[in-house]
Amino acid sequence: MKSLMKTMKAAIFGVVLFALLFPAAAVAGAEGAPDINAVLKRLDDLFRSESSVGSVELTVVKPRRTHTLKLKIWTQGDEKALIVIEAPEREKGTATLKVGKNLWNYLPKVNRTIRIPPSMMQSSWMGSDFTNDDLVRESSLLKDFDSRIAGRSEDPAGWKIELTAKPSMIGLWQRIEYVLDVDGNLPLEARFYDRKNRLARIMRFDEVKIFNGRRIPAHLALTPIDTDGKPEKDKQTEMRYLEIKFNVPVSDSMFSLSELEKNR
Amino acid sequence: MRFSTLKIAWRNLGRNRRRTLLGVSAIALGQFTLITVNGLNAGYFESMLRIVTGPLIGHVQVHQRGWREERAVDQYIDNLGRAESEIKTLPEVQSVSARIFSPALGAAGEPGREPAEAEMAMVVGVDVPVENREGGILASLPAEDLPGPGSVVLGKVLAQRLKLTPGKTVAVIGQDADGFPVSNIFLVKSLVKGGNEIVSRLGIVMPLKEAQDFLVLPDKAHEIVILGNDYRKAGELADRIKSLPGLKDAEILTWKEAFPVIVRMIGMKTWTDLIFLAILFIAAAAGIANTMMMSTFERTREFGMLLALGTRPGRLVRMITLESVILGLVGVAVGSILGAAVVYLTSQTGIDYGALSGIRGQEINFQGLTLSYIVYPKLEFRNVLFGVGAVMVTAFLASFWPAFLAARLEPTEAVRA
Repeated sequence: MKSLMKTMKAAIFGVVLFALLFPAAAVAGAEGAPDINAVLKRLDDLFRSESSVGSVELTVVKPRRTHTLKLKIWTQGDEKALIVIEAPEREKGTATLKVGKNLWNYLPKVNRTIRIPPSMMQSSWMGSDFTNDDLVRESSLLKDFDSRIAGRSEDPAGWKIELTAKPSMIGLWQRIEYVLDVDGNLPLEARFYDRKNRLARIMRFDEVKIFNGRRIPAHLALTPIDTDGKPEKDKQTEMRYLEIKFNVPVSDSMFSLSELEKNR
Repeated sequence: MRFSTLKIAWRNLGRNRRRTLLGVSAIALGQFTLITVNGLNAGYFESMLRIVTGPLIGHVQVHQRGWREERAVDQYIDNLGRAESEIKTLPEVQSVSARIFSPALGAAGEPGREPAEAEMAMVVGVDVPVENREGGILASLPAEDLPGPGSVVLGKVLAQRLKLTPGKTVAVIGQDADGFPVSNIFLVKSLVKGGNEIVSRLGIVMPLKEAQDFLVLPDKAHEIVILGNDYRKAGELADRIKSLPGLKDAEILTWKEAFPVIVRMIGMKTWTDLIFLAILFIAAAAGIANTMMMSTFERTREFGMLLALGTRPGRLVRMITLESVILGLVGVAVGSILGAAVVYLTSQTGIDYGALSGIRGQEINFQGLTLSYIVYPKLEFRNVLFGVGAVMVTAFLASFWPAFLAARLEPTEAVRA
């Protein structure tokens, strides 16, 4: 656990990717308002670890169909992640490997590994509302954004913090608004504004559980917002951690192309 | 009018040959320019019109509303079979073909030691026999090169990027109507350039049925292309299709509505035609008026003499007008013959605009269509007639003033001038 605290450079869901989306807890200030730097640091590190192994249920809601995937995820720091689809049968064995900024998909049906070209980074990952870019992006709320506590939030009740991308930061989001719980510890909601300052997605966090001694929201729901500023009809992606172990030994060889293609 | 007047007029033109030649040349050059420029325009715009009213675009297109802007996979026309059979009941309909367009990733399908580099692509499901006709997506492909079950035709540019040649296989990762990934391997039958930019740049072309199965789009397509008897009656055809019950929610567009920019460009042809007609008017007016004024004024004494000898002013007017008309006719005849000859010759060989402007390659992509830089000029007889008419009108007008002056001459004064 101590080593965990020391290592900032670890991402859980290989998909640190999601690191950005994952808030962190904060040290509540004596008189209510939490300390902003502590908050950001905890948000950044909420899901980070030297390594992790987790099981996730990914539910993609589409207007005509809801599709649930069971994923197994191995991560090593921020740099490496392997995601393997375990169910349902149709997608079973499909796997994604991330090493740094590179992404490969292995498709059992055609028995080929394909590197995702940069032009496809904004495309959906496995039909979900997450993009390939969400998987490879590594950004830090603390380092890449200017931030301030924007006061108390009514709905949901808690603290509102506002993050504005630093001019040097290249990324999708111009602005992110977080709502933290009343203790300033865990995130409840995050609203992402694109470069044109339009609300583009809302992420909600709930079902707080303790995994491996760490208190985290086990359920994340991402709602895409269309260009009119309304939530897209019947579209949502939910991620639920069924299990996650932080700082368990994960072998380097896990994150190789041969492992990606290994018969599963 | 006596024949002698004509003869005298003709002879008068021969009295100052250099001046007459100059007048004839000005008119000939004007007519030549009119015919060649308009011929070039006619050829260029006609090829454009052929493309926008051909099988690639059809006379009428049907899509789900919004598809043209977003091109999302789930913006399909449902109950395709019913829609198609309803359209086919219309008597003027020549052909109906449906297409599927779905973004995908393509990669070389041969297992190699390195993972394949994927490229953005587009699965294009088509009605193979219909697209195999002239002007279609698969035009000019021999039967053995057409896509079939498990095989595809690749756009040339995509094939180059993927380093694929016919006989190899391509792995395709597409998405079904709900956006979930689907993948399969296909044999590459041949490569296609085609007149559609999407097809040559991104196309993975397969039979409609294959695409429907692969992308889980049963009885669905994104586009229906309809050819009627006559592209000029596309509006009426579209109206009749709009009243079909199976397509009441769809967006039904004529080729004009689908490609307004190209229609506007074709419309510009009328204006260029008019501009060159105006230039011809000016050239003819200058050539004839100058010649006639000069020759009338220097002949004041002669006219006075003729009048003194009893020539009626009317005959004088006819003579001068005839000189002017003959001058114009000779000029326009020379210009027409030269212009028609040049247009005919270039219409056989074609003119490579690209080469003329130093551009490599013979195509330009415009509005998603591939247009050829090679233009085959076309002689429009109408423009020859317009030119002749313009010159005749000018000849009459330009001779009016000198003829009027000559007729009003006072013989005694004129002889003394």
